[in-house]
Amino acid sequence: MAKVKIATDWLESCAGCHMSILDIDEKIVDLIKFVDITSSPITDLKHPPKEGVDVGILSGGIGNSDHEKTAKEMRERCKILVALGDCAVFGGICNLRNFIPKENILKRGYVETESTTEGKVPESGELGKLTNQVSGVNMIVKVDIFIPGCPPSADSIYYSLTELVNGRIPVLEGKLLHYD
Amino acid sequence: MVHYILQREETKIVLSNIGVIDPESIEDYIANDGYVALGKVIEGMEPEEVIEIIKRSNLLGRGGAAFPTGIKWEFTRGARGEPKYIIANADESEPGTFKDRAILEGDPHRIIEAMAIAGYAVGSNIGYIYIRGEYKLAADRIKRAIKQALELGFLGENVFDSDFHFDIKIHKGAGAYICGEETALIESIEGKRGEPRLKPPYPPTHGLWGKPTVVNNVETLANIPPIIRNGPEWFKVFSPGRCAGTKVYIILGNVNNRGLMEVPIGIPLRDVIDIYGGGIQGNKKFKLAQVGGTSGAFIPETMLDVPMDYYCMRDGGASLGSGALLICDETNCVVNLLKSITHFFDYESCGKCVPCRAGTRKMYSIIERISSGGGFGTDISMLTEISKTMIETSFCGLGKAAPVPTLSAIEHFKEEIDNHIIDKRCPAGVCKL
Amino acid sequence: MTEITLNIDGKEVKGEMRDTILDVCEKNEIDIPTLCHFKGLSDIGVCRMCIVEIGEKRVAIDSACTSKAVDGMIVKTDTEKLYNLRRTNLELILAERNHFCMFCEMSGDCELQDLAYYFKLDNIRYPLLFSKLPVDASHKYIVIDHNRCILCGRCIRFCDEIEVCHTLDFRERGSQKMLNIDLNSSFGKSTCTSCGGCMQICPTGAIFDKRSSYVGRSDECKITKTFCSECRVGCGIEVVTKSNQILRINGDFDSEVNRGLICDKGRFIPLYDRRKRYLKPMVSKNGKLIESDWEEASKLIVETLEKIDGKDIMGIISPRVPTEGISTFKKFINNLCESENIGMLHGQITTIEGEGSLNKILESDLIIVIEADFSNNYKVIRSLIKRAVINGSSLILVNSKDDSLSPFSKLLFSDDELDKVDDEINKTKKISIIFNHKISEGIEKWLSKYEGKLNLIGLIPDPNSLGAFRMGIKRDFKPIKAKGLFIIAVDERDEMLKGVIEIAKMADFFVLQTSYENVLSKEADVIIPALIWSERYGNYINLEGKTLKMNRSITPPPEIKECWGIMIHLAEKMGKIIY
Repeated sequence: MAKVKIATDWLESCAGCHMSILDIDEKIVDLIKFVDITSSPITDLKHPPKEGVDVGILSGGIGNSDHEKTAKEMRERCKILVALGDCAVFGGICNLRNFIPKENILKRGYVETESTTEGKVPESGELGKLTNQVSGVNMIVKVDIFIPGCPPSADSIYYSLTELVNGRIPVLEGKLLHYD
Repeated sequence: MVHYILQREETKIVLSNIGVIDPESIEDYIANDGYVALGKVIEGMEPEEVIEIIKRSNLLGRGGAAFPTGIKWEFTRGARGEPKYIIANADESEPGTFKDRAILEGDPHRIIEAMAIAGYAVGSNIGYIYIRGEYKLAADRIKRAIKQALELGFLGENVFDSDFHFDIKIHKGAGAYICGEETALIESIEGKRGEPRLKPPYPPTHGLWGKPTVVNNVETLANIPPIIRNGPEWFKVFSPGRCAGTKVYIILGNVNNRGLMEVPIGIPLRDVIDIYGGGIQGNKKFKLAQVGGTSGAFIPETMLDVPMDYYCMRDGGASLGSGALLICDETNCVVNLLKSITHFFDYESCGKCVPCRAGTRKMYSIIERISSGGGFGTDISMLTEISKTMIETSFCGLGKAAPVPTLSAIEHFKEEIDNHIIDKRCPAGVCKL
Repeated sequence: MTEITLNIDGKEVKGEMRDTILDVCEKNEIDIPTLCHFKGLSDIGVCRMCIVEIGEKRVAIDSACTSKAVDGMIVKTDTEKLYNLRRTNLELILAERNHFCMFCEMSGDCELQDLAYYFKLDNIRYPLLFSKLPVDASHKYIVIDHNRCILCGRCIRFCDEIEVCHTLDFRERGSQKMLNIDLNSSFGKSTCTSCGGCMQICPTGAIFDKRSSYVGRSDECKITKTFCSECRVGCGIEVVTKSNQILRINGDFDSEVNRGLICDKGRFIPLYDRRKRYLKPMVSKNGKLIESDWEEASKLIVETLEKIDGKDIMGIISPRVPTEGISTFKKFINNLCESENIGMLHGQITTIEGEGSLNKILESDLIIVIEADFSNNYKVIRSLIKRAVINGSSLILVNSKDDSLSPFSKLLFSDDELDKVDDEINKTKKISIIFNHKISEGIEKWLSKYEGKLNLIGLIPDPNSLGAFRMGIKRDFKPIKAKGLFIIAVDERDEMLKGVIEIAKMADFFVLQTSYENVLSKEADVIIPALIWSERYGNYINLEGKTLKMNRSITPPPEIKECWGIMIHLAEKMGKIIY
């Protein structure tokens, strides 16, 4: 049986969800018999391959236009898209900035920080533009599987991946389903 | 086809005195058969006889729920508890409806007479008129009318020198649509938050202060004196179908004749628009009619021949409601219309139960997003899901009726809504996407 | 009660005449999800979680908590349609305000979160709203975070029906509906009596405790059922501890005495105690108290007391100590020290036997309250009185000392109008008389004629003076100029000790047992550390005459013994045994 190809990426994320993937510890040795991790932010290849993968995993919320592009690219190049962690599911902690106007956020971050002198909000075309609101990934592209948690426990992630490898849609319940 | 009275002029029962008599003169009212019915009832009839007449007349409540008035009075008479109350629901907050205002401003004694008759029939000596806070002129005229009636012995101790006494008090509303719902209205009179109560028990057994209470709409009450004077058979002649009497419609929108029209029940919508409404303005094309108020269904062209009576409308998935008729031509956008409607319900929901409070808010925010170009593919299924949940699980009629326009729009005008969501285009050219 | 039979989910189950469908389900262990329902409060059916299908041909969907159960009803509680409707309502609640679990104090203990887990919600389909709602942290003990409120109304119903304070209500309508305090005041400047019931009953993290937030979840904590010993009602409480520290005190809804209602004296004030505590015995040397140890302290006490004649020894015991402690102390003073001089540190003055029943207050037609001041004490009884009045009882106040009950009362009398009170009593059948412990002789004489005939409840401000009283220990003891004085106090505040300062000053040798440093400390020759309330255990007799068993919720520091343990140890040193 061919190995299931997986690509993962992070958006507006603290990387805790990816640390949680690594938290699978030694069970990852069994997992990679069935799974081929093609690209991730913590390995050499950073973008999902053009020929596509079976499962795409995104952590982090959609906070700027770069995130939108990454999410759309991942959606195009994978058959099943997984939203990993509260930020990807509904915006998570990143939602906190939705209560404050965008301009104030940018000013606070680039101009008013205590150690900044003569700060300026950067306007380079290379940088992503802040979206009006942070949202979960499913507001931009269709998401097939949601794994909530902050971060999701390694057990939830391991369970979901093994279910997918066995051709089933994972249903999280009991200790595997938690929002914190 | 039953022969019915079709005339260019409206057939008037309810509106017969309006514009004809001076509403501030009790003598004018008396000169036009005023208080004859009350006298007839007190001097010559038993309370049970009065109820029997109203039952035989097939009078249905004109506020929107269309419950048989005679049966409601019978339940209240038979219920245990003293004192009993008669409440006139004059909290006319349905947008586009001002028929009760016209009656209260133009013929206030009619309501006083009707309430006294109801009190006699049911065994009540106290009446309340719950009048919408914004109706200042109507409240003033009713107050004056009550004073005049007291002076001449039509109200107060010894009505018509009998041992029947009846008093009427006025209670003003404070700007809440939900207080038109009978139990929320009763809560409001009791001084509490205007939120609906659990039903059952219903007001005829447990109403104001827990006592048997009749809550009738102003238009319903306005029919009572003529029915008593002329008899129940006379009432039935006015309409061709199973419903009796007339209905006051408020015809609004893109028609030539806008305003109040009293029309025999049972005439098809097409005739109401063409004959009474004078046809669509500027010869434009008819698009939809919203019948019954803001929670009314959208009636497309294909349903224009439905007879406008309570039973046929219900079979067709619509309701006569309060009688407001909003006629829209092709220059109107369904999504824009839905935006106003969902905004109204979001504003007026009382907030007691989850599905209505959160559901009206969500529906408004989804429609608002659609009308400004931010629609998602899942929006229609989300709206349908929320609507079904509201209809099945809401605590009171507001929550159950609020999603009706949206659902009927999705049924009859789906393509236009899809244009907004998928193509980001408003066919009528109204929404700025 | 007439029995009725219903068909629920295909099974025949039994209920009683006045039950709702939810009552019948609970009696027959059929699980229905609920949110705004709470046993003991009225049901309003606003969350729409407990909806069931009623009927067979024409199926109506209505909430089980508000629908009356009728004999022969056919009910379905678990169909797919109901599951979907409940789930959509839950998603609507979650999308309505800011229910973010990641940084919420209540995560893990939250009923809303539990419901979401029950429905296996892994995402919310509806876009979130992000409305910025205020957080009111002005109250001394409690925070209200409106962003987490689901408008279930439980707090309002508790404040209205159980505490009968009506500080909380709703304002505005629709999606603007908000929890409201008084006339839109801040919580800190309101009529709130700080009973904390709203905080305990809130299903989410909307109303929470300042002191114990973010410190521990229920599954990490130990819960000890005991009762409060701040006054003589003896309200059942649950003490929540983690790592031998108290997180918070909850009212025990299973307790027959108070059914979950407690007051700030029992819930908050004991946890904010910042007094300096004695952890080791102290001995006075050259006018200063120096830390010592049991050997030295007990040797000094025993050697000194053995030399003093019984008639010059005085023992005074606190009525906050369990019955076991009081009886052992009495044996120590009477038998071992051969002294008859024993008294109570504070507490009961009147001799009226007021062992009435609290439940009877709710059943009374007439309630007479004599000289009570509820502003600092006995707020639980005040709530019971208010509840009774709302249900139809009449209230008469005699020499009322505070205003809180005046709006509820029918008549107000002064203490020279007692004959008019007699008239009222003669007109009525079920009567309760609630009286302050410091009443005048005249009133005491008047009350004595009703002893044993009416429901008399004395508001004595200590937990166990009835226990002491029954052993013959009196409050109005005859003070002597003692050569040896032994005072057992525990966690008393200075006001309660004022009565014995003179005796302490006059004594030659003064042994003081106490938990905290207080106004008597500087007069003492030996100080023995005492247990505080959370470490004490034993029997207490409450104002109804019921024996309540107190359990300890905290293991005390080493070196601190129970009162009777100290007595036994000292007796051993004297070569005697008492038990």
